[in-house]
Amino acid sequence: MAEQSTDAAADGGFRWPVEQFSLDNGLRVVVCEDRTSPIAGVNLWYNVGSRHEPAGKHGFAHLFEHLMFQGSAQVGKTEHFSVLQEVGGGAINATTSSDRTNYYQTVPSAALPTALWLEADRMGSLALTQENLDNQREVVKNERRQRYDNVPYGRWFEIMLTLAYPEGHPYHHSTIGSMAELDGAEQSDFTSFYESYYSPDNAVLTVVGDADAAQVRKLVAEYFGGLEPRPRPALAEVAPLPLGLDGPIHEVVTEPVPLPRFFFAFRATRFGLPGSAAEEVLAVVLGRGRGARLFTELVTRRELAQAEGGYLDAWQLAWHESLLSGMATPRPGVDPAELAAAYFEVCEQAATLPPTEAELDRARSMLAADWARELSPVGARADQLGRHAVLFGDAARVRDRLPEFMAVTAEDVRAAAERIFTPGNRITLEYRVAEAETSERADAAGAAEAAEAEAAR
Amino acid sequence: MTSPRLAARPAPAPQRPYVFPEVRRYPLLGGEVVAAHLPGQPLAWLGLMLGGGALAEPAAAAGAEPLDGLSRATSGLLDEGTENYTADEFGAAVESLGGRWGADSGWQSTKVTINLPTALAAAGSELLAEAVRRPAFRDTDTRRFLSDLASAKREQFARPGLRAQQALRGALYGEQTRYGRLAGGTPDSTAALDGAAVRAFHAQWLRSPGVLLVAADLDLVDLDALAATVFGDVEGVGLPTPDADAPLAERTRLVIADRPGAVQSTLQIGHPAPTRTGLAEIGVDPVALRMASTILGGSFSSRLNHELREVKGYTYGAHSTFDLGRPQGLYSMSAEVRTDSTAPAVADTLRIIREFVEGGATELELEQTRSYLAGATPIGLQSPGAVGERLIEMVRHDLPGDFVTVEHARLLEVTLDEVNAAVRAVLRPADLVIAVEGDESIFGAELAKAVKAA
Repeated sequence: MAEQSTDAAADGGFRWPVEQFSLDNGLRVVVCEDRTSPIAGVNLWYNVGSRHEPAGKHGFAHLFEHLMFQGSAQVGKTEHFSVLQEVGGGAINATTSSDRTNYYQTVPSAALPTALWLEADRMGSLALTQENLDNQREVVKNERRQRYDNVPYGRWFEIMLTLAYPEGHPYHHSTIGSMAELDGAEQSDFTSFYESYYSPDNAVLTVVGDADAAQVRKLVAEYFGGLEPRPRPALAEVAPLPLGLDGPIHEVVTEPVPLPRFFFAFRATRFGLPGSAAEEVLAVVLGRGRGARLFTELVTRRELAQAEGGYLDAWQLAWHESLLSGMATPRPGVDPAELAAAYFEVCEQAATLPPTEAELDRARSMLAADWARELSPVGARADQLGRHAVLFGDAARVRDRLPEFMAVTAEDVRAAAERIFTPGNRITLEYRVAEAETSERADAAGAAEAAEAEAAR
Repeated sequence: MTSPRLAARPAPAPQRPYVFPEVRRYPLLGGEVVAAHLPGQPLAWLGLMLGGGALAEPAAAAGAEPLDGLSRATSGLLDEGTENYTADEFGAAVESLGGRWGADSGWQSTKVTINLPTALAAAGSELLAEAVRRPAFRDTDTRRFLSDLASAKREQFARPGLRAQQALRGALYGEQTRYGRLAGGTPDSTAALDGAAVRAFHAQWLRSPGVLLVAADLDLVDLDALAATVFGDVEGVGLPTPDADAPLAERTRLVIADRPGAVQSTLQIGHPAPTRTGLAEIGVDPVALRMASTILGGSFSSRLNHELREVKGYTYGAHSTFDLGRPQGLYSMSAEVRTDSTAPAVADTLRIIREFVEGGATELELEQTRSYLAGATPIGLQSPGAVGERLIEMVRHDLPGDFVTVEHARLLEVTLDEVNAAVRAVLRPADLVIAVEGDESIFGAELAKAVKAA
């Protein structure tokens, strides 16, 4: 039998080469060669998310995620998908978060020029017609209905953001935005948003797979070299938030949901700053998987909560203070207040009860294997490279991710728990079941008013 | 903004050929091993296919609630405590290997899988064997697990989708037959499950050696040793799960699951279809049908999604697909549409399907879809789990080890006539049953009229 090392120390669990360069117009390019399969992942991280939206324009970043598929100077309306599919492209999509918008596709490596040409055409000449705006506003409204308004608990995420961040903070509203503000916007508003943010010097292009840096350099110069950088407005300064929330905050929502349920959130460290890796490990020790403390304590031992895959999760927001969030559903006959108290008790105990060697080992094994799974497909690997290039100015920082987790000690985890789990730093969003007769319908307008938000998570 | 210098569109270049990983398949210790070799892959996927399935569930006693969902519940309970581990210890053991556990049961089989780093594959196979061969089904664990399952089922039914599927199955096969209901059961049937039923089901259906599936770098794992661990001390013989009854001869055309207050309606429109084996019997090429199915409702550019989402703005997405699985196939279209668009969306769907059958696909659609599907093969098979899914298909339909390679090559040469003949052979617009979950008070009358006129 040949040996395969599980030691990630040598290459940080990232075993491929990373090459980087920039064009004169400011476009940054990352190349990661991997000849395993005759395919290439192409990913564009635009440094624009809902955090860039000024008042009155909530939902713009996400609407652009849709508009970018509606054609450009040389690509007809809705042809973006069909042109890619004609050359065998797949895994085509885009997502918007508070922090960024990413566009991605995986193509047969022979079709890499076509994918780059399409990305360049829409970066340089998006078709911002009235027809496209009107049509995609309707698609977004259907998305909102399907993901927020027509599902139980569908609005928890946007409500949580309004509770966790003050009015006017870039993370106060989430990405689906306000349907009324989208409806009220003029075509010129969209044009100026596009010119500001869809500029080559505000993007990172990553190619992973069956291509080398020399080849990509030549193609990128050909397709993106003619695009000019465009100026952007300076973002308003955002004052750092205090370490803890000014809580505890407890919000009750009564809706026709099938079961009562809690969503919890705690203010946490920005992704990438010291302490954030320990908080991530803390979330795994307490809240992720079958061997997590919250599962064994609340589900198996005390039989207070229903089994779930996860009870605590780190959001990894990267530009301002982030959140840890969790959820729990009382079992039939259990007093919801008893469950919430037990949940906080387990969390707060971690401040005095550091993880055992076995608990740390479980968390490290999960994080290492998940990282290997994440990096396995070329598309997701490209996304991680683009993310590290945008956030840290260097895609190779991707090699730090796993070693940072592995270096977290039991004392780091304990200290993180002490920092995060104070009564003042907690938000409780409690769903209660509305009686059938008295239930008010959650309509789209009311939802948009209650919180302007979205969850591209 | 000054106009940018844009480059001209590149000329297309031919894709490199694709070959599915080498497959090794052999009987061992009363079971069977099916393995795909993935050189250099750091992760391994192990699966065990056993019998059982929803069609193996016992019929309800007179007046009693049927035990729908028993097979799926049994597969979910395999890792909730074993002879040598408590439920918590077992979960922690899987996670300490970096493993991801999966268990599921369909109509005629049960699958248990673990995905983990290749170097830990042997330890993974021991946990697989422990769960499948030595589950404890302790009262405390079964009670807790089944109670959670019943709550989860209530929540699933409160979300849109399942009740539309339930309505469609009932209308096609009849609610009194097992196949006319949902494989995973309902809130009521789940609430009726208990530990005794689980233990009896496991004893009757899950005792056979089964098929060990492996997708991994086979130079780094000892297949025979994995198989010895999993098949080691098994004495049972696999019983074949019964087939389903035939679809109803007389079917209601329109069924509605009322959901007052819903802001969207879920459409499920479909009719029975052949299985993969059935296709071969009537001389239809599965590759030609897959091509047709993709053009009609299988991609973002498909006719259904393009018209219902991009042109009409009824929905966030519309899809349709042929499920060619055992024991019977099913064609079904699904979409969630704005409540006030329910009737026109159904009418448009029926028209789009009818026009597709009558007029067929175009040469342009064929060429675009050919390239798309050819590219999708290697893109879709990057992970060991995805390769493992094709191994399951290989076993279920008794296909040769190179069937993916052969079908990939066939994609490149299938003709428009073959594609359109495949559609005409299996898609029958007049037989489509329309199931809708939504607020009937708003669309009921208009929908009935639209369906009548279609």
